[in-house]
Amino acid sequence: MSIGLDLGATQFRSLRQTGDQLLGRLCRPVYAAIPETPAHRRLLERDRVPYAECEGMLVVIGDAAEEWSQLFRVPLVPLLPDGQLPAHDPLSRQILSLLVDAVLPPASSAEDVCCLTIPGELLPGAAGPERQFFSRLVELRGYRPVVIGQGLAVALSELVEAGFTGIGICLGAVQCEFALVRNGQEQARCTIPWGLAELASEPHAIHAHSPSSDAPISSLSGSPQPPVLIDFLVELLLEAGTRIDQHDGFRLVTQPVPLACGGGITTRADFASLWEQAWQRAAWPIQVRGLRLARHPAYTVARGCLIQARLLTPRGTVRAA
Amino acid sequence: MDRPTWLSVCVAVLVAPLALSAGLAWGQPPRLQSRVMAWQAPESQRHDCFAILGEVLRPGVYSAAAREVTLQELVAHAGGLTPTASTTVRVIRQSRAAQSMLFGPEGRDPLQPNDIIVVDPQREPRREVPQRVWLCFDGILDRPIVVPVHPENARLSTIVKMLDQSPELASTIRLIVPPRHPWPTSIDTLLPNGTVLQFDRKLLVTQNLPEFPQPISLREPATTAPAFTAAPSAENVVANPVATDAHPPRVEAIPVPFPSVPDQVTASPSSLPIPGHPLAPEPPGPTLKPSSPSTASLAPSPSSSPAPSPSPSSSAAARVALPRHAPAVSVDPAWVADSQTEILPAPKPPEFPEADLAEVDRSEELSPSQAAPLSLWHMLGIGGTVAGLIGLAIVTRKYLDRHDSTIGRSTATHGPRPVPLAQRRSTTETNSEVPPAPAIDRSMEPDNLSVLLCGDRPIVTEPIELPQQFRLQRVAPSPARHRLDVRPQTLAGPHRPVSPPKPSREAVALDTAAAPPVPAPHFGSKSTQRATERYSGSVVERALAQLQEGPRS
Repeated sequence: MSIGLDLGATQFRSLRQTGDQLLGRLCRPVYAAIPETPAHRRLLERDRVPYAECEGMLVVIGDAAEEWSQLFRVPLVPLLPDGQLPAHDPLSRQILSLLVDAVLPPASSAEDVCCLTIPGELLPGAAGPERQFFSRLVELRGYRPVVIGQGLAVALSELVEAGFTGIGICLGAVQCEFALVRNGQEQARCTIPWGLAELASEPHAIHAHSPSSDAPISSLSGSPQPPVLIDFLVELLLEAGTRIDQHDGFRLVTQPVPLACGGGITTRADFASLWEQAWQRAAWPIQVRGLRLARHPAYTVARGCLIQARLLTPRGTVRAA
Repeated sequence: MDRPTWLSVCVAVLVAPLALSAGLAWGQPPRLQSRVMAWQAPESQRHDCFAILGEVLRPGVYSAAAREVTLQELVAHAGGLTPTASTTVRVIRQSRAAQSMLFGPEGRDPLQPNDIIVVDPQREPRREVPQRVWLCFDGILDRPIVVPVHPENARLSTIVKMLDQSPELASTIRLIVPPRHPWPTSIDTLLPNGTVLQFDRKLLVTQNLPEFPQPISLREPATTAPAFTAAPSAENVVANPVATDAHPPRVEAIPVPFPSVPDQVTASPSSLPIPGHPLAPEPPGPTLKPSSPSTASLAPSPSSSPAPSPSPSSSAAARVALPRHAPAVSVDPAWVADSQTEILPAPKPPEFPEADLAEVDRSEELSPSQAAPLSLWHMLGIGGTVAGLIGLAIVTRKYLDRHDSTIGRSTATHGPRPVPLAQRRSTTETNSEVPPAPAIDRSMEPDNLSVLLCGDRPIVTEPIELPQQFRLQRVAPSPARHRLDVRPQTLAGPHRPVSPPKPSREAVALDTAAAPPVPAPHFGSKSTQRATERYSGSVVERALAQLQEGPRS
């Protein structure tokens, strides 16, 4: 049973296939520490909220942390600030391991592959602490970890009709990634450490929160206003175009290539028009054939990871879970 | 070979090993082991055990028949709470973290089997050193164990040695200490009263475990709730009407003490104290002489526990029984010195007559070959049977190779043709004509990948499951009051590079060496290269430009 694991800075998601059914799990890597009192403990136990004990504090983790942090007026602490693994913080690492175990069911055989993305990873192949830590967690669940980029995952998920050839763009919360993919193989990657979380953290750039949206960006303080979002996309395309123009892998592309875009911001209904306006202002060095938006924005990267895991799994070892 | 001959050969091959086994079994000498193996205790009714320790008068493990037992009833049977008991008790259920529960004497809090109840003291712990420390072991048996140990022996290292386990086990024991107590920083730290030690059963060597106190039976439920607090009497106990009046005096309430570090006279070689241990030169206690030539141990007798004491004043007394067949263990001197402790020899079990016990004693002197469950005669019988089956298979294969067509004609009149055990291969067939067996079973083929690729299939989001109650561990604080940090005398210290970071605007190649990390500027700010190109003036101008661009991570 292979599985795709999308470890984002604001949400963890996993996707696996059972027969003809796709099963996903998601949770937020946040926690809230509540003072340990018998009343608080009874409240948590009455509502069956999972919590941990740590030095006189009751630690509520996952999706329930936001609600209880607002209830008790305690800060909501992100476990991956800016997508980086906190150093010298064993508490955060323990909670992260619990969350990974929660979204990742145990492997059924030793040949199971877990294809995952690493949050905050800018360079491919870099043996950073995040990659070592999360790969180790995946190994402890019995899987063989395979790390890929988020742009490649978007391309694998959305460019099926194009033969897994094109440019995959992942607009994440802390970073955006562009990947040139040809026949399912990543030819080049460009990662820019700008994220949509910067827009949500600016009070003048957001408006009221839309409860209907279930994307990770909606879990922030609000959604950015269209002008700010267009400026962000223009700056992002300019920066990416500058880097792409200097890279041989992108420069050798002569034919118009399809473009696939994923991420929490693509859940907006007006994202296509916003992208069109930003695209007209930013002159890109590569001709594109069109933009394809993700059909399941919440699980786009996880689905691409699952496809890659299925392709890497030895034939004969994949079974219905 | 015709059909009757073949059938007779098959019957002979089958019958011959059976007859050989029967003859060998009939001719073997009588064995005493069968009588020993038949000596089994009768199946008793299922009993649920509940452990209670801490600020109660009579800690221990209490067992009851399969019925509902409440916290109030258990506290009542344990003699009630002490005046220093807290209003909150902790319940350790299924080896998970402690769950605090507000204790009410009029309440009715049902317990689950193998629950561990720890009654904590009030905010100010007692300063004086207790006479004995009550500890609870979880995970050793199928029930919790509550034992009293000497305060000096309440260390992980000593307890592991008492249990006759390897010293590495101490690092795997999970401790649940009472609140407001410092966390043990080493295996030699004294454990406070009411500490629960959770063992990993997989790491235990069960053959070395000593005998533990038997559970105390809860024969009848409490009729009234125990007094929660009361004025301390002269004996520093709570006047509990349930424990003193309504219930018979609980002579068996104090279980057998946990075997202390044995003395040099009666200790077995596997439980010797640590050389140089401060507890080793303790004065040896009097060695109990058993009633039989065999050694004795401190284990309670099953018949001694339900025997009530005639007077309530003897409720704190203990009865120590000595069964016959048990290893030698010395007695804790504190128990011998206690005038209320009664040391009795264990009564003889009525269900085992002396003749059977003699047979058991003699069975211990049997040779290993006789006492082994699989003797030589059994091995010969099994080997003969296996050889007969192999011979039958060979004969059947040869018969089918020669008379395949005969079987087909003879069975065609009775029913459908059976599937032959082995298909005869024709000499004209070649390997290319035989369809190759599928290398991969159909059920092992991958799932339909098109379901995954089409993208139209809805995704069902499962709820995640997090552990309900768990404990997060921080780094254990140092017990020292002062700390002196010494910086490492290396050149590669926390110094930052003097040279400014290089602007990284180039794209990252997959097949090239790792480039320096890309800085993470704000999206609204220009990159370093742009700033350098725009402000190519003096150093001050470039610095001002950097300030206007904002801080960089």
